[in-house]
Amino acid sequence: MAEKNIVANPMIVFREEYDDWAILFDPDSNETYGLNPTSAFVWKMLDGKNAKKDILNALKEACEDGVPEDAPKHLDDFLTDLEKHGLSGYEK
Amino acid sequence: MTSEKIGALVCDILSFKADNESFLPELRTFTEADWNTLLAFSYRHKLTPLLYSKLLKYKNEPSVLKSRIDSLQGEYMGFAAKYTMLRHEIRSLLKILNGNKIGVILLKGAYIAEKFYENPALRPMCDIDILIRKKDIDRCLNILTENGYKIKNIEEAAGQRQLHCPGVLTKSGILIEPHWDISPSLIFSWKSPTNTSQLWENAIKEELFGMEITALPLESLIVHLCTKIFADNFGGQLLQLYDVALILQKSNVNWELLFSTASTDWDSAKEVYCVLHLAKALFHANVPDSVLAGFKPDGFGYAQADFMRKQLFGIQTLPGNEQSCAMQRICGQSFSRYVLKILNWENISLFGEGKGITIQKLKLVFERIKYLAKQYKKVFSFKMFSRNRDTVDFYRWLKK
Repeated sequence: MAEKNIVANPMIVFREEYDDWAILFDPDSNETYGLNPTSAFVWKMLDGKNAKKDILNALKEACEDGVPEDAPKHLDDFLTDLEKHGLSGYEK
Repeated sequence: MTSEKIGALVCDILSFKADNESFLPELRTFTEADWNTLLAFSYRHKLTPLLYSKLLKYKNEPSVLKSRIDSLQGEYMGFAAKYTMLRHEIRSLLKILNGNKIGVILLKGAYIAEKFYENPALRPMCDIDILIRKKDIDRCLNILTENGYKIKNIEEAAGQRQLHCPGVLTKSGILIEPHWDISPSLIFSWKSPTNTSQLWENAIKEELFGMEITALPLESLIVHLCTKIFADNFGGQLLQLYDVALILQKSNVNWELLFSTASTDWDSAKEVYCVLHLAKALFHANVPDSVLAGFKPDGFGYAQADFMRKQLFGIQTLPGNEQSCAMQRICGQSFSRYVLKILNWENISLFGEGKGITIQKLKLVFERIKYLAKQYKKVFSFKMFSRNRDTVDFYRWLKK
């Protein structure tokens, strides 16, 4: 079965800050989350058009010194975390 | 490092003067203790986000600067998160009140941050102040309650209604403070009250928060902010002074209108002058010298400027009571008029029990201090005399 693309929850407020950091705000739970530049970069790719491998490839291209070996696991963990907090879902 | 030096340095960092890097050499020589003092000072005055934004471009400088700027980032992200939440609450509140045809004017930080700050997250705020008409208070509170808001300390609400509306809590715990009167006369008893109806008549409509909102016209906004700085006795008010300086930078102020508004509508021309003077002196705010010369009140001089600066920097901080009591002495109000309360009649015997004439006398008592403190919040204090000459002199000059 083809892997579904991940979509950011459209109700979540995404606010970019200095140095490519960002804030996520969930109006339903009133929780806020800080995103470092890498997470913010990933978040911006959660438009339903990108699979995990697309995101990983984009990260590799964007990072000057490449990505660490366990980058796929980091990405998995981050995306799982987003889903757990209701900040993302899967496209239909 | 003294409060005075730190205060001057922080103001220098945040000032609006062109090509401003004069503070760098000093920052480069900072010790750990100096940085701690700087950060504590900026935290006390809620200037940490602003400081972070100004120092960010120096983060690649060698020595202690980078690590300190990195630590400021953590603080800033906290403020940014808070702002994101507050903005959401402000939009929700405005939608509810506008949808129910309740006139609302955003006051203070809630308005200033969005309107004047390029990055509103740089302007910390912890609550949302709004102005509503007195006749709309009950309906406003009912509507907010129906929408899940909670009236704060509802048991106190009845007592507080005489002075101001009780606070309202959003579901996320953000405090909304509805005001119906923002006159300086609430604080300084010798002042004439502001015509609140006229405030509403002169209010302007503009687009903010992605919707049409009602706001104070520019000159009234500036006057209101200046009087608030005074009402809080300058202590910890550097952020509020920066607000005024920023507004002056970003706006085309009609100075004649500003001072006539301050004088006629708010009875606060001196306060406005004092704040403008400070804003220019400390932040190089855009106030022409001709304006400061032309509108200078009688008797304004070094003593007044020095007093305000020391208050701002915390060099000469007095407890609120001492400030109030200095004002009270100058007010010349008769204390007994407010204190004496006739309770009831009591029988007294003039020449001793059973020997003389028993007469009835009105029993006069002094009301409890706590009760009076609630009724006359900042106007009266119950320490009768201030020991601080500078404070008395300053407020005596202000009242003239």
